[in-house]
Amino acid sequence: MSALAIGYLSLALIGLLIYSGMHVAVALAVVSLLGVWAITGHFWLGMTYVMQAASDSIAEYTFGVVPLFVLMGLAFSESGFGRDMFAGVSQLTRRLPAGLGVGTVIANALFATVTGVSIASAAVFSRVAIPEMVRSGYNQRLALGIVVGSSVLGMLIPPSLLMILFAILTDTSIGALFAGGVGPGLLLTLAYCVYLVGLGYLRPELLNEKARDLRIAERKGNALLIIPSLLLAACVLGGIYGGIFTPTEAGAVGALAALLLALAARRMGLASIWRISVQTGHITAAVCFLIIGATVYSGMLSLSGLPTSIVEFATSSGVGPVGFLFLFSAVVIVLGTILDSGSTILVSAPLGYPVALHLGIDPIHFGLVTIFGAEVGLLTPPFGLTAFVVQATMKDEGVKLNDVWRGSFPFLLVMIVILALIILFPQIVLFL
Amino acid sequence: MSDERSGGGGLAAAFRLFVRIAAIANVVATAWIVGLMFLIVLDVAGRNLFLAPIAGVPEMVAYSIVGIVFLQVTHTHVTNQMIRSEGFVELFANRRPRISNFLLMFGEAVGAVLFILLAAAAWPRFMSAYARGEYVGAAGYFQLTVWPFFLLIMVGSAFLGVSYVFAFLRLCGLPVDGRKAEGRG
Amino acid sequence: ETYNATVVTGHPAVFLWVKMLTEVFVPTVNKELEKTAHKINWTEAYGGTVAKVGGELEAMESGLAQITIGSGLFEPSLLPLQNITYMTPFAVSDVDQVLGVIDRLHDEIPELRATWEKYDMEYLANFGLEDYLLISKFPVTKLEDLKGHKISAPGPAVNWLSGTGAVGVSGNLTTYYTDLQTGVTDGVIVFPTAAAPAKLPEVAKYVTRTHFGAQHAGAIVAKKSWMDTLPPEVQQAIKVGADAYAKAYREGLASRVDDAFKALAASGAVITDLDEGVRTQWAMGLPPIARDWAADLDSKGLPGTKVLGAYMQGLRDAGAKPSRNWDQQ
Ligand code: NA
Ligand code: NA
Repeated sequence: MSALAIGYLSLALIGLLIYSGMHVAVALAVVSLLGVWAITGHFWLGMTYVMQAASDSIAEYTFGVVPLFVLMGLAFSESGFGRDMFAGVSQLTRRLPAGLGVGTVIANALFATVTGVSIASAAVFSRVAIPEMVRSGYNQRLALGIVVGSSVLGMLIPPSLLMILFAILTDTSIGALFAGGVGPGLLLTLAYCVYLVGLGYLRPELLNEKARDLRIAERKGNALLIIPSLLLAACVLGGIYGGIFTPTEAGAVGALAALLLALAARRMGLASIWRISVQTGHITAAVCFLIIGATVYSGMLSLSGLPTSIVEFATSSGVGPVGFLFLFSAVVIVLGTILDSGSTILVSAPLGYPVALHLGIDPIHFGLVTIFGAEVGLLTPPFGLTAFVVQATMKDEGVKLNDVWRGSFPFLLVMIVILALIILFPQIVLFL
Repeated sequence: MSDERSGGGGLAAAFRLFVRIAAIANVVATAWIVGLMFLIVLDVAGRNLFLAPIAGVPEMVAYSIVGIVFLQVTHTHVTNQMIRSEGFVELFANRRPRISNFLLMFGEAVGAVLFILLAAAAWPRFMSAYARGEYVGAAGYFQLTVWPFFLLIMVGSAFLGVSYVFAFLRLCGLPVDGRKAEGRG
Repeated sequence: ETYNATVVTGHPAVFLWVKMLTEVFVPTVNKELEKTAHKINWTEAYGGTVAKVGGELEAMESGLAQITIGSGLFEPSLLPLQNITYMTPFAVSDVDQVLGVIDRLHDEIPELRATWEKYDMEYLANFGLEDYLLISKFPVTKLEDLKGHKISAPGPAVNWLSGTGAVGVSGNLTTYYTDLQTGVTDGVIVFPTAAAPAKLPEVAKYVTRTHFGAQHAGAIVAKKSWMDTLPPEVQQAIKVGADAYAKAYREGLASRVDDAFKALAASGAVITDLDEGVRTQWAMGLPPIARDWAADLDSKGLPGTKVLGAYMQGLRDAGAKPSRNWDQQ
């Protein structure tokens, strides 16, 4: 069997194993092991490869701060500050039919201006926003979808780790990519809001109005409660834009600030701080094992030559620039069903980029299409990293992965529509 | 979750001991996360207030995550928090419980073999890193020796493999928790 | 007969040293092989898809790859001698002189090739990086200008700031732009062909040609035990390919550096040359980085002092005028 055939077979096998209930990280690693074995003919070589990738893939500064963002999110929600913040937001957006949902999307867009990693957004907002939306009468799946869908903004609105990765892989300007992300980021934020408001008019039973009004009434007169949340946000945002710490360091500063504030306000004791730290560790281990699995598998895919072959197919079809962008983003979305967004860009961008240049496509436009396509993968099964993070964070509330997939499906559709718009109208990216 | 009740013979006793070790590793990893938070905050403070950043923080953070993950992962598995897509298995669980149980057993068995092999593959890497005194960082500035991390990968994988073995045995109906299993992990 | 060879790098093909593998090395070897009855079936995996930066040698040792770029910068413990140029800042601006001397030392000092062979690698050809410079948010004309500023620097280059009053913060290409933009640091030590595409002048416009020096950045290496199994004519083809790689790299680099300075100027940079007197003052004020490094290697049984002396002497013989004779002071 050719290496290429092994590559295609491995895609099918991974889907099968994941749906059969095997731990996702195990499925990815074991298929990679079998794939490298089949390609090279040496079993132990495959094993050594998996082992090496296990350490190399997560031994990165950016992943090192994953637990700190998770901790910040848990501290923020467990202390009740998250609830207070949402009470404040719902006051502001109370005239809208989907006020809390719109508030969550906008809060996520604001948080995206400081974080470069979508899993940080997902970790912070799942614990803070979902219980609040559910308490006020939202359908649980809708609440899950809102958080998963809007967490992609974390890597779309600058700063963005994916843009830095793309810039380095293709020699394009980080600054120009950051600027290019603003348009698509705002457009997606707006599209989510429009979708939610429309839903509020058409299916009001999904966003129970009454319960929300009750809650607001119950909170009235306690507007001061929002102050600690504002302080925390000011501390994180001010620190980053004041040049005191980097967006990645903000995870540590934000977590410590949230914990200290919770202690000072007697919202949390040392015992509950320890409890959420343990939970942080579990989420970190589960998520990092997924990242290891996806990285190992992307290496195996590269060895099989599959990415080269599908990009060659896309280019040899003889389509023009727009057709190429549609085909290429389809390839990226397919890769994104199984890989994390970083790995998706790693294996696809260097292959598509020269073709895009040859066809006269603006490099920044191509970059944003690729990045947006890779981010679609954050919410597509069987491997969708932010969906996993939200589920891992909400597991003890009885949330199943299936609920997350179903809840985020409408948001996936919105993303695909926006992606098509970005392809058709390069100005969305290039207007700045 | 571990069952605190005693009894169930040697297997149950072994599992209780195993869970205790995993819980200790979990405590160490959790403390490590808290330590990491303080390390970064001190680096930020040192750099801004005293113009004295802590050398090697990027390297320490990068490798800490390896340590935290491999210390924590067994406990994550023991407490059934590894991420899986349960949709189809649950569909089967109601109509064809045997098929569902078989699929879960298969998954745990593959995990057991994979992680025990991973531990074996980490051994030569640990040995070479130790023998060569491998480090990351830069000579004359900051050096972080890497063999302890390969040791953690090796030991962590081995423990995780054993955890999968226990989960497999439980699905086989053996009294791992000191009582008859209900068929599903 | 057909042989399989996998080429891996942690860096993507936009970097010249990787690009030349796929554009010059592989085609040249193929062309040479056309004269023989043999063929190589290549798998090229660049950009960290198979091995991350710093993980290339492990991929070679395990047998996953047969050819790679080995870099002392990312393997400080395995290839310490190969970091000689990073320990001797302000020594030489001309990358050709660096590469020429390093290549010759590989023939004169057997221990240099031996450090590769210890890990079953065969040294084929080297490559380097052009003269490093400083990009900052503030103009630099004298040493005092650096005082109290935070400056990002890669790996061992953090040492180049000791004793200047500036604070070295270790960073890399992925952090520079945002570090400068958010003000976490006020300057970066970088080479022009990386600074230009990253558009660093957008966030820090003063480009000071400090002449930290050109660097020996790494070598193209093959797995030795694999090379030994190949027929002599295939081995020869690989060596011809490596020579062509080295030649093309140097030619390509010169024009790229020119373009980089044009691009920097076009994006609004204020480019100045650091006064020679200030440069000497800076160099002489540094701690004895090279001597400390050499002594440490000597104590580990490696010829640190010998390589340092031969390298500096080689530079002087080649006509370079080091701001500090690191082997003497
Ligand atoms: Na962002
Ligand atoms: Na996906």
